[in-house]
Amino acid sequence: MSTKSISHSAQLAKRRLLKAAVTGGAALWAGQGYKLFAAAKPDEQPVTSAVRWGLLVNVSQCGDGCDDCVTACQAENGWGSGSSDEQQSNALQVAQWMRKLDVHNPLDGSTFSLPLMCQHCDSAPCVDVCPTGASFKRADGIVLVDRHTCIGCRYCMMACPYKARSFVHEPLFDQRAHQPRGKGCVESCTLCAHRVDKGKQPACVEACPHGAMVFGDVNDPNSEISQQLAKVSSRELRKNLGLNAGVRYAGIPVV
Amino acid sequence: MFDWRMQLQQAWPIVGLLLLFIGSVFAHEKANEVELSASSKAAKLEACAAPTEDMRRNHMDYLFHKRDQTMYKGIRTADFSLRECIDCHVSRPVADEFVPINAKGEFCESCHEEVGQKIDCFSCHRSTPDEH
Amino acid sequence: MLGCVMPVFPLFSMKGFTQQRMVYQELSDHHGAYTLAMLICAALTVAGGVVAYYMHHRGHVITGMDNHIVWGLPHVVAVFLIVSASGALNVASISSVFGKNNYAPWARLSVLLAAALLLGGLAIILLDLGRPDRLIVALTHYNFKSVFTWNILLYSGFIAVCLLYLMALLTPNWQTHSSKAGWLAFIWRLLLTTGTGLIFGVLLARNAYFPWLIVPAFIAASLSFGLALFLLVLLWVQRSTARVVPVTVLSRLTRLNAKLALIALVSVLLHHGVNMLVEENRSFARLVLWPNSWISVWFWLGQVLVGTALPCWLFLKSTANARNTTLGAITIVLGGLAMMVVLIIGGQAVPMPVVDGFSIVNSSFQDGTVLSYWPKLAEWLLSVGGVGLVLFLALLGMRVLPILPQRIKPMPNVVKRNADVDAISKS
Repeated sequence: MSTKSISHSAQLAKRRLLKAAVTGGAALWAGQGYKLFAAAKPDEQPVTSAVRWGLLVNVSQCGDGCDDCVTACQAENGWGSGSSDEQQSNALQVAQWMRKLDVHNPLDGSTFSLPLMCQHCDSAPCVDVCPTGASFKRADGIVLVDRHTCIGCRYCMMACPYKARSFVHEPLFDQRAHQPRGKGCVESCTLCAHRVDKGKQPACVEACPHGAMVFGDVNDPNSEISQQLAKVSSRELRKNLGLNAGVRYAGIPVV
Repeated sequence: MFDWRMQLQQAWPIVGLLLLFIGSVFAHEKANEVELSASSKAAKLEACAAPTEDMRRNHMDYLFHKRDQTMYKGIRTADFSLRECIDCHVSRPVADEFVPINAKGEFCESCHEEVGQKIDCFSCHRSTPDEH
Repeated sequence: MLGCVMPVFPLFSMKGFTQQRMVYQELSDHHGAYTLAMLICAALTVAGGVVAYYMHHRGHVITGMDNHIVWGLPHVVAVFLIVSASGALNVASISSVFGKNNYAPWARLSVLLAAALLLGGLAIILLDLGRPDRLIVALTHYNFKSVFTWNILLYSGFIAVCLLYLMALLTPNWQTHSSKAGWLAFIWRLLLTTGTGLIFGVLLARNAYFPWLIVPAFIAASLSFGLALFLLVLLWVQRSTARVVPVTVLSRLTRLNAKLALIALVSVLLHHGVNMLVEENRSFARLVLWPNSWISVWFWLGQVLVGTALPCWLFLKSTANARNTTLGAITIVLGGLAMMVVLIIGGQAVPMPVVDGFSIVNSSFQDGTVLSYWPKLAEWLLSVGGVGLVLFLALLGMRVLPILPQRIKPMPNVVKRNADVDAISKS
């Protein structure tokens, strides 16, 4: 690396740090009760296990028939309606990073609705079964696929307790620059890692018109998600598998 | 009589072929200089993220290093990011129009074609800047 | 392929080649039945290879597989072939490990077929990968927490053990080595089926597989399916190359195969039966056992009726003859494929309780419904290509190595040969 680019990136880092300090300070100043969101980490700093990203979905606020979160995810990550690709794949072959489910409540026969995506498990079965180690969990708890070592065996799809993963069945061309995707590899929700690393919220959370999704650091007791988790009762899906999912649901009726 | 040693002795043509095959890996000549596309941003710049000679020889290592840093550690700096490479080196014949960087005769393809090295990047990565 | 192997294993003189009074011989090349079989197998293998290349180009969109049924017909056939590889070793194990000398003449064929079956199954799995071009990644990046990784090692180890075993059997005066290699292969084949069963057993997310019962079911099934495939190859050898399998050996093997098929069925029933008792697994067991889904048709008609009842009747009612044995072995193979369809495809078709405690009434991904799957041409060709490769390798092995016991008479004509076979069947 030339000295020029080193000094350039050092300058950039300084600027980013300053920015982070200012936004962090502003949040502290503005935050009565709790911070909305932790300050963004500087770009050159690696993610750490001091943070664990989590998502809380309040099912009672989730709109019936509304799939704004799914559409936002598609636009952000370039799948489904967010891309001109996958025209040959059938309805069950196209990517399903996120889907809305209508669930029957046996207690009173009513239905409720919830979004389902990768649950970013702490002890993720997909990570355990992947023969090449392409499925991995980042230090901050986000479960990702390294497409450079994924051989497309789909064993992770067999192991996923939520059917949250998709296999790309045809060649793709119209990807988003920040979200590579390609034929023959397995993929799933990344919790918008590219946005989170820049201090932004996942696209689905930002898009939800009902405020039904809260994103944040569950390791930080002052984050909104931690405060909400302490306040409302929530559960993980398929808790009996002992996965310690990063996505929690509040408002699912107890039956 | 079934004799393994005799069998192996007769295998020397295969061993020879194998050696030839392995040797051919080192046989390619140094690539000629690749022209930058005149309509790319790169053509207007003095140097790349590292000196040109260094980039020519080691760009793949920089790219691989950077990709692992980004993917596993969430380090999202601009230097040696494939996205930046494409943004800078892609041909822009008309404003807001790009020629895929792996298309015939374009920056990545022309050199890789010459050394007979397949590029795997663009089966997943977009080969033009993102207009979204 | 032929060009590669031939210089290493040219035809060698049979003069003075003896081992325990038994004389072995390569298949002679001017043999009509052999050439025809070889051509058919080569054509199937090439068809499989071509479709694999096309699939690599177009993607899995040309198959009937999707994001629910992620493993389809190729995996059914591949897992069947891989577990059968273990069972194909039965005859070798009986002679080397359990010291039954009257099976010894067929030990070489048994080991050769085992190695070929494993290679064929493995080829299907590898060519069905989304990125088969990254095979080198699979061989250089290991996640030792993954059962799959262990299976890659078990499979390559199995091929190595088989080759070692075959070498020991082929080399004169290596009796002690061949019995040691026989033991190694015997232990390895049990590990192999255990590992293959565990691929499914460890999937706690799937309410179809009960870990510690699917492993015995796979072991029992492997013994039965592999022996049936061995019998089919043995009968082809007897019929087409005028070798004689003593009727006592054939009868014992068919009776053994009937018992093994029965044991396989019982262990599978045990698996589904225990699943019935486990609340979250009941939905799958019910789809298998209650006659109201396509899965139960495969189970009752496929594994129970065709795969077990029919061969038991054919094998146990009288002494073995070529027709009964062929028919019985084919039904066991069909039943074995049916078992794999039930476990592998059925296990993926059953709704997954993603929101546990609730049923899903509507989803863009058809959660909550029993799914169906039918393979397209690509999967058929890939799977049949794998079977073609197995037989191609087995035939090639018989051609270049002294695998088969020597013919009793010099090449008889067709009429004479059939008469021979009939005479033996009746005796």
